[in-house]
Formats: sequence, C-alpha cells, structure tokens
Amino acid sequence: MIDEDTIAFVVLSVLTIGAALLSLETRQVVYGAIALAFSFLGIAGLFILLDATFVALFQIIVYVGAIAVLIIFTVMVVTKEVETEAKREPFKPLAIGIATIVALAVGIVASLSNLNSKYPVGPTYAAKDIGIQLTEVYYIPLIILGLILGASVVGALTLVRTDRN
Amino acid sequence: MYISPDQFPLYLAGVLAGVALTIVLLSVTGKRSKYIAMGLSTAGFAFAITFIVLQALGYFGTVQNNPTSSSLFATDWVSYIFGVAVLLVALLVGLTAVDYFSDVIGTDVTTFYALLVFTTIGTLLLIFSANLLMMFVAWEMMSIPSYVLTGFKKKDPASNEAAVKYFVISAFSSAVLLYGISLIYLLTGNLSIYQIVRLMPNGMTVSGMTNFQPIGLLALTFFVAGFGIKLAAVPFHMWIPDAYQGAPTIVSALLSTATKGATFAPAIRVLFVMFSSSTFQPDWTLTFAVLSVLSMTLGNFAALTQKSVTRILAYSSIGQAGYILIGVAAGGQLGLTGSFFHILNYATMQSCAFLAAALIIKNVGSDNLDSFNGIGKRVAVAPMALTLSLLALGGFPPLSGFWSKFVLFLSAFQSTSNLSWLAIVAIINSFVSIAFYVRIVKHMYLDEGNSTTKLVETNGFKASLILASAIIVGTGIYPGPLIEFATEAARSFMSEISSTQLIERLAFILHSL
Repeated sequence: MIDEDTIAFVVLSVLTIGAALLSLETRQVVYGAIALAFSFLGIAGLFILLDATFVALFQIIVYVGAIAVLIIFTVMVVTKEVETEAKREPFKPLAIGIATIVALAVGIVASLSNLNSKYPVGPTYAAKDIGIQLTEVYYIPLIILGLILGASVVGALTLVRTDRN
Repeated sequence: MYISPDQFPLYLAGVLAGVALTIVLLSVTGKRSKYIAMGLSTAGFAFAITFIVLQALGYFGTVQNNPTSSSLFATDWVSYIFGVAVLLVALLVGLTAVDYFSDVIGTDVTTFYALLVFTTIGTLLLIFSANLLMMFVAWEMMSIPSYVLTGFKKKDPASNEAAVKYFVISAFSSAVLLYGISLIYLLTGNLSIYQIVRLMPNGMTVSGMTNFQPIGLLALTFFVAGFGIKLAAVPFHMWIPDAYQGAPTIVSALLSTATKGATFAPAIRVLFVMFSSSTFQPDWTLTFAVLSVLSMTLGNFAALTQKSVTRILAYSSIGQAGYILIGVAAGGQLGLTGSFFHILNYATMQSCAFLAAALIIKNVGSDNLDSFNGIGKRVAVAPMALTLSLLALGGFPPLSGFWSKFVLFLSAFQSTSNLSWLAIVAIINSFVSIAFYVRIVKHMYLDEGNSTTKLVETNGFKASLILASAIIVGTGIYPGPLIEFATEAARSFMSEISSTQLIERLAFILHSL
C-alpha cells in the first residue's frame, strides 16, 4: 500500500520540480521569483520528511524568507515590467537531454549503492546539538564565516559605491 | 614561545585579519591613504612569511602535527611551501597595485588591499585545512573577495564581464565540491580528511551499506571537477582566457598562481590521503594522464594562434596545469615532488610574467601583441623580467622552470604504470610552447615599434619584478633547497626515499645525460 510518507514525497517533489520549471520558463521575472520561493518551500518539506527539522527551518528562514524576498525586491526595483524576449535557444534540447542524463545517472548510482545513511534510524539531531557542534567543535569555521561576511560586505560596497573623483 | 601546530594557521589568519580590518577602517575614515594600506599589507605578508619559515624551522616547538579527528588543520611541509608561495605572490601583487590603478578612474585602491588580504587569508586556510568543512569555508573565503578583485575596474565592461564569468563558474565549482563533500559525509559520517582514510574500509560494514564503490567514485568525480575548475585543467578551462583577459592584469597574476596553488594543496590531500584507503582504490593514473595531455595540448596549441598577450598567458596557464598534473598521474614520491616543485616555480614565473605584462599594457594601453613591438628600447626592467619569466615557463635550462619540468618528465618515465608516452607528449608540448613564449620576446626586442619615447617604470613595479626575477634565476642556478622542500612535502604522502637520496639520484641522472 502507499503510505502517507510516499504521498507526501510525491506531492512535495511535484511542487519542487514544477515550481523550479515554472521559474525557468515564465516570461515574467516576478512570477519566476515567486515560483522559486515555492520551489524552496518544497525542498523545506523534503527536509522535514528526512527528519531534518532544523535544516528545514533554516531553508524556510534563509531561502524563502531572505533570498526569495531579496530577489523579488531586486526584480521590482531594477526592472520595469520587462518581458524577456522569446529568444532562439538552439542548445535547449541538448541541455535538457544532458540534464536528464545526469539526473538519471545520479539516480542509478544512488540505487546501485544501496544508499543509506550511517545513522539510518538514529536519533534526530535537535537544534541544541547542532548549536553545541557549532560552538564547541566547529567554532573556527564559524568565526571564518563571520570574516567572509565582512569581506563580502566590503566587496559589495566597493562594487556599488560611486566615487567622486 | 610555544605554538601548537594545530593552532598555528589561526595565528597567521588572525594577524592578517587584523591587517585587513585596519585597512578597511583606513578607507572609511576618508583619508584614503593608499600608501599606508600598501605598507600594512606588505608588512603583513612579510610577517606571515617569516612566521611560517620560523615555524618550519622549529622555533615554536613541534614542527608538524598528526591531524586527529578534532584538528581542523594539517600543519606540515605541504602547508609551509604552499603558504610561502601564495604569500609571496600576494606580496608581489600588493607592491604593484598602487601604481597599476593610479590612472584608473573610479577605484579606491585602499579597498583593493583589504580584499587582497582577505583572499590571501582564504588561500592560507585552504592550504592548511585538514577538515572538509574547514576546507569549504576557506574555499569561499578565498573565492568571494577574488570576484570583486576581478571586477575591480568598475568602468571597464571587459572587467565586469570577466567578474561575472568567474563568479558563475566559480560558484558552480563550489556547488560541485560541496556535493562531493556531502557524499563523503554520507558514506563515513566524518569530515576529517585524515580520519576518513581510516574509516573508509569500515564503510563497507556500515549498516545497510553493501556497495561502497559507486558513491565513492561519484564523490571522487565531483572532487576532481570542483578542483579542476580552479586548477584550469581541460575540460574545466573555458572561463580562463576571458576571465584573465578582462580582469585587471595584476589580478590575473593573483588568480592564475595563488588560487591555483592554494587549490592544489587540498586537492592532493583529498586524492592522496582521503581516497587512498585500501578498500577503495580507484586507479586514477589514466584519468589524470588524459586530463594532463588535454590541458597541455589545448593550452599550448591554442596559445600559438592568439594575438593578445594576456590571452597567450592565460592559455599558458592552462598548459602549465597540464604539466603539474603529470606528477599526479605518475604518483609516487617523485611525481608528487615534481608537481610541488613545478607549482612553486610556476607561481613566481607566471605572476612575474603577468605583472611585467601589466606594466607594459598599462603604459601602451593595449594587450595586443603588436603594441608590444620595440618595447625593449623604451623601458628596461619590465621586458627583461617578462623575457626571463617566459623563458623559464618554456623550460630553458639555467632557469627555474627547467628543473621542475625535468623532475616531472623523469617521474613519468620512471612511473610504474608505464607513462613514457605521457612524458614524450609533454616534451613535444614543451617545444611547441617555446614558439609562442619566444614570439612575445621577439616582438619586444626585435620588431620596430611606432614610438621610441621612454615609458615610466614606477618603483613598486620595479621592486616586485626584480624580486620575482631574482627568485626565478636563483632557483635556476641553485635548485637544491627547493627540491629538498618539495621532497619533504611529498614525504607527507608517500615516504619511499629521503630527500638527500632523491637529490643524489637526480644528480646521477643529470651527470649521465
């Protein structure tokens, strides 16, 4: 019988892939951005199915909350209802073919190797454990990430600033 | 003073981060004191080089560490030699930046130095990292500031285009690398490169895991692709010529040497440590031999047809990546020694070539080969340094490039997997490459130019070019110490013979030739 996990998986997959395709194919950039947000939501759902609640929450906060909204804002600020012209895309069938082959290959490899996690049914990680890992084991990468943020801000300001001279 | 080798890179990164943040503060205070920034960053790089040398000599206690599961860094000879090479390139580039951007409108050189120091911190951490998570964070730390450096000429469309191309391809390489890391984590539940090798045999017995090979191979493929993009190996090279041509030429010097060298260190750690487990023994000799042949051949033959000096140098960078991969394909201590030695020499040769070209291009306003005509009569140092570095890249005997190519070709001949054909292809390629290297020299010295007015050579450029040329000539005349360091580094991965034995063997072969 089909259990509810499978149904949820199929629904979420259709939502994720469908929204991703829509975001690529739509002519209106704003709709594309909104479709992308829905695709991110679908991925968050898949993470919940995998018992990775923490990652799912992050997916929603960062990708849906920050990135998708940022994209929508950028689109609204920068473009003035520009409809992308229907360009000739001679490599499109080829690209679709290659992407399908790669996806199939990854799928085949995954099923051949009897894919499983090292922690198949172990305890799910709570946010607290992840916090402990980040602050006690991986605190150096965390600090470096802060430095990366600083460098990115400096870089972004360098690029957008208008100099007077 | 005792410094734990596990913590050593943090001191380096801490000092340089302090320098970078001070420079950022300098640039916001309004006093855009570019000379202070230049002095600070140069002092920072020089301090870091001294620090590494002292650590390598054992002034801070233990010289090397054995990375445990909790250590994020591997402090060994690989880290030392690559760290010094990267810092040296950053120093050379830093010396020239004020002069290079002096007449470019709309740039604030002070922030250039801040970003230069930021990206150098990333390259250093990448070289030292022994943990896949640390490696990825360092990878981003290296990449993100370098995108901005590539697009630093804001008013120049070519620079913008180069930055976008570099950004997209580089983001792709990060994603591919991350995919590989996640697969390895899936298989072993561990992120420490030096622990995974011990876990891999047990990977077979992990519950529910019956077939290890396919995912392991998939992960290996992702790692090769991710590293290959930054190493500029064919077929991951498409972005190189456009990015190097469009970027400010001194940034091309940084990208083609520091980034490439810093990528090579973790690549060797991942390949020769992480994937070296006895159960999972991929035979990559042929894979890397093919990548090497493709890179050499495409790089060198495409360079023959180019009209622009920066594009020639970019294709030369692809070709040199091919030579470096010979050592990876041949494997063994000799192969790794050759690769390490060549990438060290390559760092000074290629950055010197790009920096000398930068000075000339800035003065004549074009990177076309014809605009280099007669430049030998108009300036003294730059054409001389360019000639030296090009001849060294081509592998002319008394210069540094000759020795490392010699070790590399020898490693292919002596490889157990019968790679003589690879060495022969490499030698043919070397001769082809001389054609376009010498062509630039001919344009500079033998052809008549339109103008004979003298050009200005600023002190920063002069200092940088003379330093680089001195290293090229010095290594060429007395290659012993560098070979010894490279052997010592290779011994971290395979200990077959000691460095003195290797040098004796090389000397014996040279005498019998």
